[in-house]
Amino acid sequence: MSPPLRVLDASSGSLAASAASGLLAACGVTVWKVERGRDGDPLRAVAGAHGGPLAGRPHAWTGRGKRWIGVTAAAAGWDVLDELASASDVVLVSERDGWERLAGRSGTVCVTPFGVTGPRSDWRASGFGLFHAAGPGFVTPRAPAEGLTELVPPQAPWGHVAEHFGAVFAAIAVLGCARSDTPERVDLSLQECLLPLMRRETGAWQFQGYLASRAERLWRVAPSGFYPTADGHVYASVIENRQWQALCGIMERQDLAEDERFVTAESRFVHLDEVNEAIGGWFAERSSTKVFQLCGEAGIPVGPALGPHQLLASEQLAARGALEHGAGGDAWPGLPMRQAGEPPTPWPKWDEPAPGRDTNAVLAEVGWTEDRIRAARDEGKVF
Amino acid sequence: MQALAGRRVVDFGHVWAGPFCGQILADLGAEVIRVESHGHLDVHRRAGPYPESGRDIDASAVWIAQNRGKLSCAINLKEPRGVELALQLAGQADVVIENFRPGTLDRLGLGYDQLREANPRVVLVSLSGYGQDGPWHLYPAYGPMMDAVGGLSFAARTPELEPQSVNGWFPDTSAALFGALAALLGLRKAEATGSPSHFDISEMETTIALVPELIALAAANRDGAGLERVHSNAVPSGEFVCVVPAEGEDEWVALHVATDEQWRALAELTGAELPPHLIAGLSAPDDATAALAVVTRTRPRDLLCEALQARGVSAVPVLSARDLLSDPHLEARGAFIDANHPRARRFRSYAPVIRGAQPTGNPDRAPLLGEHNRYVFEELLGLPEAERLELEREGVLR
Repeated sequence: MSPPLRVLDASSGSLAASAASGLLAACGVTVWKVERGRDGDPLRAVAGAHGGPLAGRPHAWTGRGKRWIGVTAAAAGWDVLDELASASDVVLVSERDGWERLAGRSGTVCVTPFGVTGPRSDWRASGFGLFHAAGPGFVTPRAPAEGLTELVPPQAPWGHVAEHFGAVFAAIAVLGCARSDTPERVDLSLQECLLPLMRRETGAWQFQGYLASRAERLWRVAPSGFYPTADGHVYASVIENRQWQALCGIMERQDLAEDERFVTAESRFVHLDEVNEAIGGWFAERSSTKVFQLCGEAGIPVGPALGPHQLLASEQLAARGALEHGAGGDAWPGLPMRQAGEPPTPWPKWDEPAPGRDTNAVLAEVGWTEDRIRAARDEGKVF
Repeated sequence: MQALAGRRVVDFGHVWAGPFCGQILADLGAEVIRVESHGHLDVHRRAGPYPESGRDIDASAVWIAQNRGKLSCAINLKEPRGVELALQLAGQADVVIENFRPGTLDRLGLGYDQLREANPRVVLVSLSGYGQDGPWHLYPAYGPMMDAVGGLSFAARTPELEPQSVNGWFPDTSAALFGALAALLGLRKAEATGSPSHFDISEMETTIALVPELIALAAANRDGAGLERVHSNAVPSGEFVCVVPAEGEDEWVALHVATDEQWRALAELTGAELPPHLIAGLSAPDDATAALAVVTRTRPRDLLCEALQARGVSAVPVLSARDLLSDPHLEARGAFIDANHPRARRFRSYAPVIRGAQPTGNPDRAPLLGEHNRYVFEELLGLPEAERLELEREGVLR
């Protein structure tokens, strides 16, 4: 997909950094993944209890398409890393020592939870902790309009959403560095990657002294929110009046379309209970698929709440080839970028590389002779 | 960062996905020209929040935050002359961003074929809810419902297993991020080969890309085993309420205790009789969580986080919008920009997330609607001033 570009991934135990270089590898970038020590990257030790060949294994998930270099964790390894870095366009790191020492020809990107400067630079954070540290957790979940009656815990989505989100920023930063005339240094904070999500909430606090919290409805319009169907839930976001009219049309409820209480999104919100009562039954009598189809074709923004098994069976994803399927029943999302009208570029295969699998070949590419490689191996610098 | 210095982006985006994509490219140094119109105002110009002075389409907080660093020109795309000028402008762009409903750009006369004719190296980034094809591609798609469609509402479901909105944050923004990544890849290709690109980015697909583990786990476990887990297999892991201030909002800490060592540190710090479940092999997670909840309720949030972090435990405060704006760590890092905006008072918005050594050279505020008409139509497209003014009066450039 892109002309040759060489990235040295010297990160360690960082899902976000590893996912970033994995994305780049899938886009045709040459990624040299360095592992310090024979046990390999700490991500290798993370394994889900229920996973197949890829599921629950971030090391495998993010490691596809990379070349694997083994370098000793001892101080002697830094000289090797310096050489690899200087032969790379961009270096990707996730720890302070790599940030301070390594520099690619076009730059270095450091991916950490809170950045490498500032009073919390040494703090650690899980993926859901990042979600909370950036603000989104404070306004999730959304409680009913009548407000909180008890302390509702803030909540983050399952999984590693924050890390995968930050990984795309990191991949952008790497490509950005590669375009710069002078070597760049990007200190990427995963917390800050999520700050743009809070643009509305920080604005409301500054302008109106209004603090969005879990008591707030997302949009003060109606119908808006989850509605039970015969077999699940759909989310409705009926904002425009033409959408409300269309919904009344497919429900064959002209009386609602003409009801003065419901003429605008705001007035419908004022009469939220009546709106919900009027439409709830129609949703509840139909399957999510049927509601989605009828509403979609009528231009009404309604979507089914899909779980992962339903996503695996989604006709839209299937029609676009947006999921990839592997051996043993494995499946995973395809690369979410494609040339229009073409299937997405497949992810590279995962072939269970051992630490140091490609050490000799990569060192030879940067000009090391066989004798030098052998000597470095004998000295324990590389493996 | 000046990675895209000298590169021009024409941003036909609206709402969030397109504009955020444009902003990321502006933050890399591109000149980003937002094309908009008075007749079809961006929803975020219309929706606020506004300053105390009242409704002002140039002073909406969301608009200001997500269009920082751009220029604005006003073109009425319902007018043939407006489309003609938009095509001329796009012909001078390296990247064009749009998130219209699929097919709209073609109907306007600004589709990929026309753009490619105007600029054989153009990179067109099309963002949409479901992609440019497939059985759902024309269905409407708004952020919160795309949480549901993309599996995030499942991932955030309640203890009662009901889906829950994640506020529509991720579908638009993840599409924007992949759009920016695609733009960079397209530029590399154009510079190397001289050939154009049209990227098709689907919010549904970028959303599931944020929960790949969920998809893979479900594929490997058709009976649903493992899907009940929240966050991780570390226990305790979750949100715990701290001392609730006499006034203001409740305060919480997000804890993730992953090792025996961290568990011991937690017990030592709190002095509580916490069950040694981790050492005993995850035998009593509910007991551990309940015991921990009792302990955190007596501790102020920030002090608890600092003390636990000093002992190697992942403990972070659940921050509100107010907390963020005055957070000492974010302040020290320059994570916000205080811009003087002509229509809003001094306004603090997030700084470029990707910050290099050199500033972008772009404005540190969002543009007023049509603020750069003179630059765009006279300097870039060569219209005489009189014609530009006439077209503004006629409503073509408005």
